[in-house]
Amino acid sequence: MLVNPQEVLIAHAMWITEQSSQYFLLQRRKGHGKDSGSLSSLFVGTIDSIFDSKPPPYRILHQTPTSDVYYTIACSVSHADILKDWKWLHENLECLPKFEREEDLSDFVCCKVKSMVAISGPLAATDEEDEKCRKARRIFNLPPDDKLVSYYSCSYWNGKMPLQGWLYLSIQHCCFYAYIFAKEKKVIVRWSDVTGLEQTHNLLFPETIKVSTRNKKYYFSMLLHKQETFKLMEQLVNMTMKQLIDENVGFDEDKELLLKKCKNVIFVSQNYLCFESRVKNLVSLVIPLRDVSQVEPARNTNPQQDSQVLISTKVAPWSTFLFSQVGDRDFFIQKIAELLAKLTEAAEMSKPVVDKKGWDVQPPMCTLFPKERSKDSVAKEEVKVKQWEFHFDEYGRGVSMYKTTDMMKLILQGVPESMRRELWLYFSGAWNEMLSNPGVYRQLVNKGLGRQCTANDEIERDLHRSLPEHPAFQTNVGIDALRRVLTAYAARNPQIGYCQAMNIVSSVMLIYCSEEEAFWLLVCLCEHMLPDYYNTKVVGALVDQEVLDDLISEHFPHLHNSIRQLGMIKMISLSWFLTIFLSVMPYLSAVNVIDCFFYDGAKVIFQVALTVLEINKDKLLKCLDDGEAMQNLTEYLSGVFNAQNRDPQVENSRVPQSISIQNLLHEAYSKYGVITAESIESLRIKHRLRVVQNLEDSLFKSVIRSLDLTYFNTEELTDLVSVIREELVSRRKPDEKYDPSTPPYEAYRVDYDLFKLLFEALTPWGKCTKAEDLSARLFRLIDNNFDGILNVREVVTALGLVCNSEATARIILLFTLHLPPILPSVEIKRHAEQPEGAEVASEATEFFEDGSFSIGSSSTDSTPIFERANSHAGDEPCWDTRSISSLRSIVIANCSKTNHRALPRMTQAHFNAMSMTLYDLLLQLNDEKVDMELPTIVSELIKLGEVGKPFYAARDESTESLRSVSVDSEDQKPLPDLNGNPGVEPEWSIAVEQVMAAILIKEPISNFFSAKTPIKSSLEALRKSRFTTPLSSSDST
Amino acid sequence: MGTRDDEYDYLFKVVLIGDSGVGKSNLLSRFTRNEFNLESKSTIGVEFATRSIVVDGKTIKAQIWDTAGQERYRAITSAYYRGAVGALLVYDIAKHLTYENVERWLRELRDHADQNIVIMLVGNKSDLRHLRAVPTEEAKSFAERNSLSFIETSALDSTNVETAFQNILTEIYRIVSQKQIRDPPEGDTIRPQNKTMLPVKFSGWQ
Repeated sequence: MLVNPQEVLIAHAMWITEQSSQYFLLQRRKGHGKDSGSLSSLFVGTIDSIFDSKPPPYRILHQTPTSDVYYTIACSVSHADILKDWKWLHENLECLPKFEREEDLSDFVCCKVKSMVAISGPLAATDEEDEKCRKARRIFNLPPDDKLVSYYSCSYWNGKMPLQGWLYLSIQHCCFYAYIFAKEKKVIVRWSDVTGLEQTHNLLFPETIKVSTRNKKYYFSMLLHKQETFKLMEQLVNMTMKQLIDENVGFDEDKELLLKKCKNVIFVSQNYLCFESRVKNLVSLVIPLRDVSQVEPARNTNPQQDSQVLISTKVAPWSTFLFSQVGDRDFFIQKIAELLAKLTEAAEMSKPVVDKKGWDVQPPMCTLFPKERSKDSVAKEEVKVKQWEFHFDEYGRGVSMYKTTDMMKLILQGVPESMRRELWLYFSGAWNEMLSNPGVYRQLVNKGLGRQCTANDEIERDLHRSLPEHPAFQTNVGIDALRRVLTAYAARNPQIGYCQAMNIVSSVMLIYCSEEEAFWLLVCLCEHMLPDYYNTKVVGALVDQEVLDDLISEHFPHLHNSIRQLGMIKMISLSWFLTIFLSVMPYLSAVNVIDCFFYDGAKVIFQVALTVLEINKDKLLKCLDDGEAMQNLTEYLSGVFNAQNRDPQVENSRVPQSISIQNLLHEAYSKYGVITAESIESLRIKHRLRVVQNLEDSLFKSVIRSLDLTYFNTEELTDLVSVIREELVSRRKPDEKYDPSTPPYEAYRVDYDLFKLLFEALTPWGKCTKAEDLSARLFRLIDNNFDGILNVREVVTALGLVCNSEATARIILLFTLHLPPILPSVEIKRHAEQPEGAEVASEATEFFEDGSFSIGSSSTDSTPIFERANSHAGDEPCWDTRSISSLRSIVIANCSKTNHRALPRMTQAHFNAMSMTLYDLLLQLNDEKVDMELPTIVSELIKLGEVGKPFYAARDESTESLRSVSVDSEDQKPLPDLNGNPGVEPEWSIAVEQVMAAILIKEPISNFFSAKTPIKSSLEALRKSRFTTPLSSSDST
Repeated sequence: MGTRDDEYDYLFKVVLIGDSGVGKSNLLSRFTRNEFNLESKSTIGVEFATRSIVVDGKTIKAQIWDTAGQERYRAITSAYYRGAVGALLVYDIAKHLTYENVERWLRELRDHADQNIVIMLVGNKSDLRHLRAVPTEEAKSFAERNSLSFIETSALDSTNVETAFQNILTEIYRIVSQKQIRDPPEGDTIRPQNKTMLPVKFSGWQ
């Protein structure tokens, strides 16, 4: 390949000249080609790797006899290519000797080469980034959908010495490559296998990143940008973990910051513009972009306050905001204008739908069911309302009011009942969501109500168990509203559906907010404020418990030790998180926590939890077991009262009062206010990894437990299933999610590609030339519901039958695999017409393209499934599906010796196919004795089939084979030829017993069928081969 | 009840499991506090209560853990099976599905609890006679097949609640005391009766 000419000063270091002419040199890099053993070439190879300068190993230089300057004009990775260039140069530049001056000559050559490069165009032009990508892809054989994110120079500690090389981070893998002294070192770790990621220090390598997986630890050190690298790794792992728990990423759009600005910081996201002062908590501001009417640069009246931006909103009276000293003002304004434009388009598209289906959106329950309040608390309430109104006058009212330290103080006292609705909506962001999605709630309710699904059943069961103490939920008014909110949410987000705890939270929201508002609050809660909390494994809550554990050990290590001995305290706090204390405190107290929660986010839960533990520290230290600890905490929490809004019900009960919620919150903020949302988030990232991997591990264990040990022992099963798991993890598509209500062995779903891979790698039958054929037929036989997917148990049974079942069972299986409809007769006929040799190659495709069965192919692969032709309409299972089922049950239930009598007899054509397979299988034994015995067996069997003819013709009707099943269904008429079973005509046929008897008496052959197949080593080999080529889905032909 | 009863001879941990809404929490409150609340809150995670009973002159303190029934909490609640010597597997006689799921709960126990845990199948809400969906005989024979003890209860009218707990605790006690006679206690798994403040906790069938 010609390249743009570049000057080279030293032409011979590290290069060997292979050919030379008057003006050109053809060189080969040391370390390549013939002399790769020598020391100098080793050295060159190492240098190339470390500096990552590795140039193509062949090049052509241009030089004029008197000049010292060389130009590289071509380079190539292969010798053949460079020779082509060499030839081209000499053929097309014959005119060179005619130049008088050497400079002209050089100019001409360079010019000519440049133009050639330019013509060949973009193909030749590559920027460095792409080069790197391709290189990484080549080295590690990364799949096409994996993207390289970044790469760093670093050294990998392999236990003996550090290897200097390159760390490549891709979306799915962490890879390392080093080439030192002719030794390659490749490390490939899938992010989904990573169980730990930390920065460590040791004496040898002070700055090291440790990556742990279940069975190995990797150390990377000498990183130039260690923090950056670590952060990126953390992000990639976190992304993978989220994928593993299948979080719907679509909901998180808003978290992505588009812009960061200014001395005090302005953030701009898809929907919001936020401002935060440098001094923590002094003032902060959120402006929803949908409220913004205009953005413009303000004129400078005061030279000191330059580059001002004026933002006007539609919300009067606090409608304009002036930001000064905005860096990069024009870009800022332009960006916001762009976002605004996008927003208005979206707003026009969503038009409210008005339809009434016999229900009305309920106003807040506290207005419908007003509570009697003491004079004292009414007075206190009035004072609070006044204070808030003062604050509003000064700092604005609405989503974009200034959030100041004063406001925090007001919130800590408890928001007045009448203002909860407004403030919760402002703080949480639900206000904006609601206004941006008019009519959506109504649609969702209509979609969700009356739907038959688990979520709705579960909701129904819990409606009366949400907030039974409130009068609203003792009548249908409240219950119906709660039902609508919860079903609407389940309809909106099926990934979460309904999780117990959502009912409790929603019912409290319904007390203070209207139905629709409560719904949007729930949306914010589930999708932004408490991420992953309510998903199918409550992962978010589990992660936060680990975070709490971390915080406990940080703040009171002494208590932490004894808590660890008690064991369960982490678990005890589960309801604290999932219901934001609503299920453990009287709700009138807990709503104050919710006030803070909507204002400050999830960190409040941690602050309160730590405070509660600290207050009860002494009691907890004295506890002898987890039950006692739990009792103490439960009692304490149910005694938390609201000093400004006393509940007579609670006060009359015998629960001793413990602390007022005002005091508790005050403590929580004064002592643990230092905890920030950021620190919580980074702790979450750390623990999410472990929690998700633990869940994966326990799923794995229960899968193993759910398998029986007929054919493989536990160790073998563990190896086998872990290979399956690894394969699946690397292929995982988002829609393949395990439904926990099915047995564990359904958790891993094996498609035909993977099954074929396992069959060919592990079983003795997988080594013959007909392996592909056999595996397809076996897959078809075992696939219980004809969906083209096997569960782990089915896979184990199939492989187990072939590897380790008794000889008789294996012969039955072989026999069955050559019976119709597993092997359709049409197929055999076609074979008979073909010459022997062409058979193997064309077999598979023809097999599937057979006219009578269309093979369901969901994708491009050739998964062997039966799909019924449309002419066979009706819900009745057809004869072929039914006969496959009965064949399957015969094959699987091999233990009862007699049931194989139910197998139909085999026709000659099928028998021929089977004997061909038999030859093929036994060929690999390479045993002369076998080769001699086999023809005898076959010819004996053929004779036997002849003998049986008259006898079986006579008693045909009484055969209890599955043939009679199908005959029944067809009104006693003999089956069409399609079936291939012997009809009423006397024909050649043979029974499985005869085949069995013939095979079993010949020892070397029966040995083949009775030998146990150890799968450990083949699994190891399979894993190795797959490991170096991660994710390659190339096996789907 | 309210007072702390530190003096006991045996401490048995028992778990209440079963589908959500079958009445586990009410069985617990009926047994420990003689309370029934038609509209109690759904259990989130786990709840806990104790009560002591006397069998053969020995005080047995039952530590009863009530767990959330919803599927997605199962991974969490199964952690509580550790160390439990008894389990009440509750279903609702008026809801057949809750009975069908009993098998899955048994599997859950096999996977996570001690091998020798004493399991009692409890058909709750026996007061709902007119809505019965699970015949007593069917459940009884199922229990026999799986060697579980069986009882039908009503936390609402308190039929059999006391008996259910008495029976399972007595059964555990018998096994434990026999085991004690057969092989004298060693280590700290179980100690002979003492009336000190030390807990005598039986946690496991070693």
